[in-house]
Amino acid sequence: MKFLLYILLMISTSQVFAVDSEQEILRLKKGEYYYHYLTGDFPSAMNQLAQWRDTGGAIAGEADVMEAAMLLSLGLHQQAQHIFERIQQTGSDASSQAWFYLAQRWYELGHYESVLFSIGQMSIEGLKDSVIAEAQFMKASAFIELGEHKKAQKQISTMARDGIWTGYARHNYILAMFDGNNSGQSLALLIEDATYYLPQTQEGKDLKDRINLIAGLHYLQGGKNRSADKHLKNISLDGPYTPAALLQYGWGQVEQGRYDQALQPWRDLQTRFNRFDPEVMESMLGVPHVLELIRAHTQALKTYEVTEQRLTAMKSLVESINTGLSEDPWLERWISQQKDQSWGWQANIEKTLPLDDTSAVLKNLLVEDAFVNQMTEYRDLVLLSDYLIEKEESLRLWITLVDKRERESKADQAKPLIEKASRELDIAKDEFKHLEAYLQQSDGDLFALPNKVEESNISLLVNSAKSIERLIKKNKASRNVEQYKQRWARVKGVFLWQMNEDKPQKQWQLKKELVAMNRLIKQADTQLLEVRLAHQWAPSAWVGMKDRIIKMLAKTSKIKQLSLQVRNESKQALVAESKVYLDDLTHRLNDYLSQSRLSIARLYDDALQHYVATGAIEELGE
Amino acid sequence: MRLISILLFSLVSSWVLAQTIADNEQASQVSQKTISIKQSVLELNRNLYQLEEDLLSPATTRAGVYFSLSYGEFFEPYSVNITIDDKQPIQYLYTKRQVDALRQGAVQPLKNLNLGPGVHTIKAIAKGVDNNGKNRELVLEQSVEKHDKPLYIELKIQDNKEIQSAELMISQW
Repeated sequence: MKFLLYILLMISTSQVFAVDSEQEILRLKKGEYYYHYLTGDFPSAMNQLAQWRDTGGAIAGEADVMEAAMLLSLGLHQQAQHIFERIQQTGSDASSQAWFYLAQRWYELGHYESVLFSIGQMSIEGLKDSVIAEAQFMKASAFIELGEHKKAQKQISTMARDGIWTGYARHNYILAMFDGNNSGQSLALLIEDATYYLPQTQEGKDLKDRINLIAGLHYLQGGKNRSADKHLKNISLDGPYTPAALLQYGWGQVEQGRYDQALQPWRDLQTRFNRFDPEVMESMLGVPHVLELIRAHTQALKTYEVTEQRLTAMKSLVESINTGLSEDPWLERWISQQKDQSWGWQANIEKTLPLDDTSAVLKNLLVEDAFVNQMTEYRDLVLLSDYLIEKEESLRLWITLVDKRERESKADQAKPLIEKASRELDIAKDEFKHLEAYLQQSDGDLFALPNKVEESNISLLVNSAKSIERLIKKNKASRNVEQYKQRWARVKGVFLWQMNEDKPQKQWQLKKELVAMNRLIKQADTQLLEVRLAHQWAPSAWVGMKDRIIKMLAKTSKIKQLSLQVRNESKQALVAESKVYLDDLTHRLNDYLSQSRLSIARLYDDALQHYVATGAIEELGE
Repeated sequence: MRLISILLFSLVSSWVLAQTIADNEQASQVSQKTISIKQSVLELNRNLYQLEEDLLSPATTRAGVYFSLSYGEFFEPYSVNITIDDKQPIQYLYTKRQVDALRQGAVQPLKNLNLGPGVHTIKAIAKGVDNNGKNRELVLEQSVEKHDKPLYIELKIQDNKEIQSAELMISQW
């Protein structure tokens, strides 16, 4: 009975160990997936997810959520949408972290109901504060986008007052208030709160500028120039919103009749920022316009003339860039400057182009999300086709290698070598056994374990004994054999004594050597077993591999051809769109040129008429 | 004259509009094709990954070395250096993003190896800083045994709250 219990215990223990081991391997695979996901290596994460799925249904829910998030990250929305609809219908037991990642992706795509559903599945326990804050921001913004402002306000009130995510949520709420034509004290307080409680970081500073700019523009449109001034003045002079703030501040001053105060920000704008910025171009005509308003006609005329020259130069530059745009490798220069070599939405892309004439002229096109997305798509295609070319080459090399493996395996001399080694090892084992037996027998043998000197001494003793026997047989009276006998017995006694004294040492030495030999034999045995196994496993390195590689190569080549073709189409689309933008820019420059030329003509005409009128008066006076 | 101008203007406008629509359609077609290519590449990548794994290390000799961080309160790794049987050195330097990922429970796949059957000795040194900002090294030497199934080796930096320090541990499955 006891024995049975023992066996049962042993079986259950081994089963528990196997289950534990499977669980641990699953944990490693899951952790590996998260590692790829969190470090932005989405293709590897997808590979891992496929393996992870194969391990069983226990994590299928989480895998579904993560796959949806990743497909969204890679820009594959339709596939993600299918998975998400399935999750909504069947429910899922995925972790809060997984739901958070999914919510992030939906938010980027503007699917706000899905954002609220995903955040609704999260539990804040165990999540980091930054994750919770971002989730709260997404929830508040989703409410705003869906027009549920009260819920949004309630959500914002639960958030940490000075967090950056709270700042973004407030910014979105303020924009919604503007869109809804809300005004009054509460809005002013909201703006004040939003700009006051922000972290003292660059991101916080830029957000503060942005909130001030939207507030300034809103008040300018409503004719509240003093409020607009207050916000526009608060915008820093070294941020991304500085050009727009300088231009609008200038117009605000003009509206209020403070012409001289409008000139300074516009001059600042023209000296510090790109001349192709719409704000800068507008200010180029704004300055002489204000000079005209303050009746500085000569200065206005000179400024119009300088503006006309600048606009002409700009127009010829735009036209020359437009002509050579197809051949100009500006997109390739932009791709080559990227440090991140991954593709998909989450790739860390430097969106600013290397500074040159082309990027300066295209600057305003390059800040449009749609165009940047197209550029990113083109970059993805370049990376994908390069990856496919590389894989195609690598598969060809694998075919060569597998062929070599097959040839070497077939011409393999390993088997006779293994057999030979096995025989040699058997001989060594026999010798070991023989020596072991000899060691055991050595206790009873007086002459056991002799060294070379002792062996020669033994043979000397044997020969001496024979000589004495011969002498005894002859038995001559003149020879006293007894003396020899005694001497021989004495020598033998001393010799035996010495051998007996040395025997334990010799036995110990032999025993030590036998232990070492046994260890070596065991090592050789293990090694031989490993070699046998390796030899047995060796065909798995090539059997059936060539067919798999050839199939994969055909598939890779097909996708590569397609990707190269689409890459080409994508580039053509980008160039076409850039040309349309440059044509528009040329038209705009033409408009500005026409305006400046008309103003020059008008001013000359005014001056001439004035001259004629004053000349006629003088003539009349004379 | 004015009528002709209006007609000309409307013709030009309609041509520009048609051109813009055509451009948008072209861009959307390219986007659709790109999505389809991305999907094909993902699928191909999965198959290629499996094939390369099988070619590089058949299941019989496959061994994977993983690295993880439990909490990471008392130790932040800068680099890890591992040798197996005093050969096959594995060295890795960590970025902040990778350390953050490890702190969130991610497990880094350090390397896939080919190991013959039998006992192998692993030596690992993790260099980094402790919670006081001082440089520290965590050292470990241990034996692992490879059978005919894939071997998973996990090196883990575990916080020990009792001694307010971290230790490097190894597990195998």
